[in-house]
Amino acid sequence: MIKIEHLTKTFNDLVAVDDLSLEIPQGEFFTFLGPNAAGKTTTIKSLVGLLRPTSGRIFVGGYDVQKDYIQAKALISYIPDFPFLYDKLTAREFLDFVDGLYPGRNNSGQEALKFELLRAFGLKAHQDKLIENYSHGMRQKLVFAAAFLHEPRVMIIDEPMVGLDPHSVHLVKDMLKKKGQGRSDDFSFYAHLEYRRRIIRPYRYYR
Amino acid sequence: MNDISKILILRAKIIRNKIYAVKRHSVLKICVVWLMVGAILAGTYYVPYRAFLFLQSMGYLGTFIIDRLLYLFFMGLFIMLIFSNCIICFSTTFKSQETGYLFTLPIEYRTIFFVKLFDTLILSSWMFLCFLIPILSAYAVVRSLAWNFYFAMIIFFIPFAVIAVSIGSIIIMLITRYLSVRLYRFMGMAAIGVFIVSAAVIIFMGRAHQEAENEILFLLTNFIPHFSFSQFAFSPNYWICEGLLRLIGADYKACIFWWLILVSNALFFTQLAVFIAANIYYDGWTKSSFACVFKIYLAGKGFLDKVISRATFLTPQMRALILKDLKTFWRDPLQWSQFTIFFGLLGIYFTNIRTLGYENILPFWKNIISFLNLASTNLTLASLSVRFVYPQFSLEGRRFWILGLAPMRRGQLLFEKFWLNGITSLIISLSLITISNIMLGVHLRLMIISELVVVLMCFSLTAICVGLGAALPNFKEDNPAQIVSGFGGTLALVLSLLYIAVAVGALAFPFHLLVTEQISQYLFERLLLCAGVFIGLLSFFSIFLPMYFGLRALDALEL
Repeated sequence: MIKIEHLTKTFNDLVAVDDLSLEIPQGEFFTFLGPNAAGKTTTIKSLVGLLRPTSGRIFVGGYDVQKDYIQAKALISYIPDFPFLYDKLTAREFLDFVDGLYPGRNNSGQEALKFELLRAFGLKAHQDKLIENYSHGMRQKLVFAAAFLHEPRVMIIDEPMVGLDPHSVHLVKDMLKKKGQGRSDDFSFYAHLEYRRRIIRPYRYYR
Repeated sequence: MNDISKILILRAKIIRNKIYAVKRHSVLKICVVWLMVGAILAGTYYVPYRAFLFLQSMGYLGTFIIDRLLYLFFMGLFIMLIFSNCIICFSTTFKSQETGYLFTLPIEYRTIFFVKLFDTLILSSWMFLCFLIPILSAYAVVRSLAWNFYFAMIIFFIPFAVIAVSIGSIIIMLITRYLSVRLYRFMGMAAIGVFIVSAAVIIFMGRAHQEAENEILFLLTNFIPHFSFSQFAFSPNYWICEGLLRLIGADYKACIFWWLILVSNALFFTQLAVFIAANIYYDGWTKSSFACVFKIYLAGKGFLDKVISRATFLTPQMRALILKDLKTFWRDPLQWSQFTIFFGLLGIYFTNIRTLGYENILPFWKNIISFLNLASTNLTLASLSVRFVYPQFSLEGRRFWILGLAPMRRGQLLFEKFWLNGITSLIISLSLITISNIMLGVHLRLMIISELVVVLMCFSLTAICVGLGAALPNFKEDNPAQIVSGFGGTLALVLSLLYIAVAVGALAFPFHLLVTEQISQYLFERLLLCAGVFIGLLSFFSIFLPMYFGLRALDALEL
């Protein structure tokens, strides 16, 4: 599902990622572990197309992330470590906005899915309030809800549990497990060590 | 060392580090910035210099009119300073992240406020001072004033600005402490309404509406009487004008008296602001930072949702982007209130052209005023475009991951902003210019031509701001005012002003030659055609080049 070929990313003189190659099959939970500034986030951002590799190629679902980026991005969901959102929108409006960016889905089905996601993440009571009033944890939950909205085949999470309360941590882990069990082509891709014993099997350690 | 000194020393170190950071920029970039600043200052000097020279050539009456204009200038400056201070004070005193940190330290609230007041003073006043110096220098050169005038204008401006910042901060403290957000929105809209209506009433007051044989009589009978309110003796603008005029008249005792009036009022208002801050600043800050205002916005039920959802000719992605941008703009009163005030004032002016008696003036002046109205509308549009359109990409910065992940071409984002902002500014500008032309009673041909030019200008100015905003973004800042004051914002402003000057000049030139009977009707037709082709080409490149560079930068953007 994910194939990285000789990925190198440099920022001026700094080599952030040096000739990384890996292949991750369908249905796999995979994690990057390593000390600060090891290049985990750089790899993740290159994978989702927010950074352009200095050299090397990345394929998601068979699509080149740089060349066939529209097809590749339609398969991906990404959850960043700090959720900067549109403060002047409400949670419902934010989900509508994200829904609009990923067109081609059944409208009534999407409305039901939004309702279900907001309920599952405990945001139903706050869905019509501006995001500027949300706590860090609520924002993170909203990003998770938005990430599940277009039913991605690849979910990429940077520092997955930061800001989440214990209940939401369980919820996210359960959702990821269900996704993994329910469809063999779903998997999660981490840059965090803390929860690996519970839900992650393979991992790659960076020096 | 007291707390204020410690914090101010910290500020000085930050400024020093910023200066060191500037050194890391390329010499070419620094030179371009200084050249642009120099060009703006030269323009700010030259235009009033020509105007003062023209009035001065009319002898004693001209000097009288210049002095009356000085009162009006300082009154406008004082109102703008208070308005600017209110906006900047809110962001530095209440919304700055540093404020929260300072409140955790063992420092008195009034000390924190005083430091923030100082920040506000610097941030709000430096730009006004930069414009004040060339304008008053032009005045001094035309009137051949001695060196002490240049010194005095700075010395007088300081207490003048301190009074404005203190009043602005008191207004904001009271609003933040005692008004709920809903009430604030209502009060804000009401205040804008009252401001605009008051301006309209003031302009209507004492309407002379007399035929005038020449320019001087026109100014004396129709223009100057409308603005006698700018000489209200209990206003700081009156004190500063009196002080400077007394200096010109070599009445030094009176000059010092007016300066001391300004200084004593500045000290009084600062003390009053600090006293109020000691009592309500902390409460106001906690209220503005932590009070959750849970206004309910039902998704899909609002007017904008209904309108945009019907625009099925747009792609779902375009609709989502437009709806997001419109809602974000509408829900930020700081954004639309500035828009409303500036264009509201222009609207008042244009609708009152007949009250001012402009339709009775000579055709030559009518022509000039028509082009000045075109220029003023576009200058307002340019400044607001730079203020609101240019920072849009930079403000997406930390949120760009949402758009960067979406399965769409990044260019869509650029075109969405171009069309949305272009059409919005077109609706406003076209309405204003149509009102101006109807009120002035200009010839139909001039009316059609000026409206065609407005269409081109709206999209050109939007393209300059959208394109450069994408090509030269600043993702480190979340404050639009800071983003605009950088290299890209200054470049966008200079290019916009240059575009307006060249386009309006090119259009006005044939009309000027015709009205002053320097060319025949036949030659006028040919020249007008050439001007039209020139403006068309200029607009094409003003749209194409910034958008091209914006698209390229956006495609290469990494986050």
